[in-house]
Amino acid sequence: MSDSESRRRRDESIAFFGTIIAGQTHEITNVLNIISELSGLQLDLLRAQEQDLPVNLPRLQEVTARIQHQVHRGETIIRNINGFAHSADLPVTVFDLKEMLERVLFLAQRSARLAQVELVSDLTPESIVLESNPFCVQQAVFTCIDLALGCASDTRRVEVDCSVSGDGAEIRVMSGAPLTQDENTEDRLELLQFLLESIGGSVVKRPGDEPAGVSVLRIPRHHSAESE
Amino acid sequence: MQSKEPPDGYRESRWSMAMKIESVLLVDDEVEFVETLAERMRARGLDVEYATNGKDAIECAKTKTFDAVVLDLAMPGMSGIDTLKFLLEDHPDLQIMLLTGQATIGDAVEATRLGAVDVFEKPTDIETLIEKIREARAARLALEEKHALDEIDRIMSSKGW
Repeated sequence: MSDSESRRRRDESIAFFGTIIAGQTHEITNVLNIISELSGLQLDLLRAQEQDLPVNLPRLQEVTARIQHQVHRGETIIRNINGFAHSADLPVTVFDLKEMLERVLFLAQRSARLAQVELVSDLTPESIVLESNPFCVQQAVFTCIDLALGCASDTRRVEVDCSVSGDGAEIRVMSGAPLTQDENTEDRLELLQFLLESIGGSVVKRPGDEPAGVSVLRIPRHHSAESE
Repeated sequence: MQSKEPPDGYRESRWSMAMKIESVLLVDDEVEFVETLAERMRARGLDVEYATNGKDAIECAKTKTFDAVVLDLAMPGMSGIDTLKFLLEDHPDLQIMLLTGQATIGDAVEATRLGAVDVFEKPTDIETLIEKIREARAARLALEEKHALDEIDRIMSSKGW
């Protein structure tokens, strides 16, 4: 790979990292804004005392429960960001693909919501343990989901599943809609190909192949750091 | 206690309009946020409606005259900026302020250029926001009065008076 190509791929990885972090910090901001309004409502309810009126305790309890729910929501976001950030620690490590896919799906929910598309999964109940580059796998799956979200304006649904296949795993991303044909799509398909090849995997079925709207990514069970 | 009788020379309709409470349309896709803010504003005497997307906000503004619209930027479907454009196209005097957790300087400049009267960063103190809504109402009424006077001038000119 030439220096400029290598630089381009590195820039794409940094951009992916930035997209995820920016999106999730917006989600945390949303959580904090809700907590801010709910705590303001708590104060409003407590101010009844200043006018010698009884405090509406059931309402106060309900608002407090809603604050606790938002705190849990915030904790879930932070746990997923943390897992995502640490996935770049080592070029190759042992990880559970199912757990990783759950994280990628969680992180991609914001993009899905903004695209007004339902992002659902049907993941295998068992763990699929791989030895590979976790950051690279995440970037490939996210790129694939992002491509699917971009063309699911009619179907309004993207589904992701995974299964053990031979000596590795297969991930399917289904939107049921053909890809938008533009330069950006071509660039991302090229990136997808590169990411999969760099971990010894392959794009078994490109999202543009017939039947349209299904992509299949194959990831080998083992990928050594030397081949990175 | 203040009298509710109109002062001398004040037309009845003008007086009732002036006595009306501030009406505001909140637009934000975070349902829990917008519901809670609406509840707190209503408890302070404002007439509040809310929409969770730009399309619904545009429909809502067709059915009622609002003193102000408080609009989020990042929403699914139609963005805050596009919603702002459509709302001002239909109601050029509408006082629209952005309330967002994600505004960049560029967004704020763009929104102001398009006609937003203010840009606030979340979280904003509710009393500050209500004060701005009151100012928006005053500005809207002033614009309405100006349009009415312009119309009278136009009619008088056309009659050669």
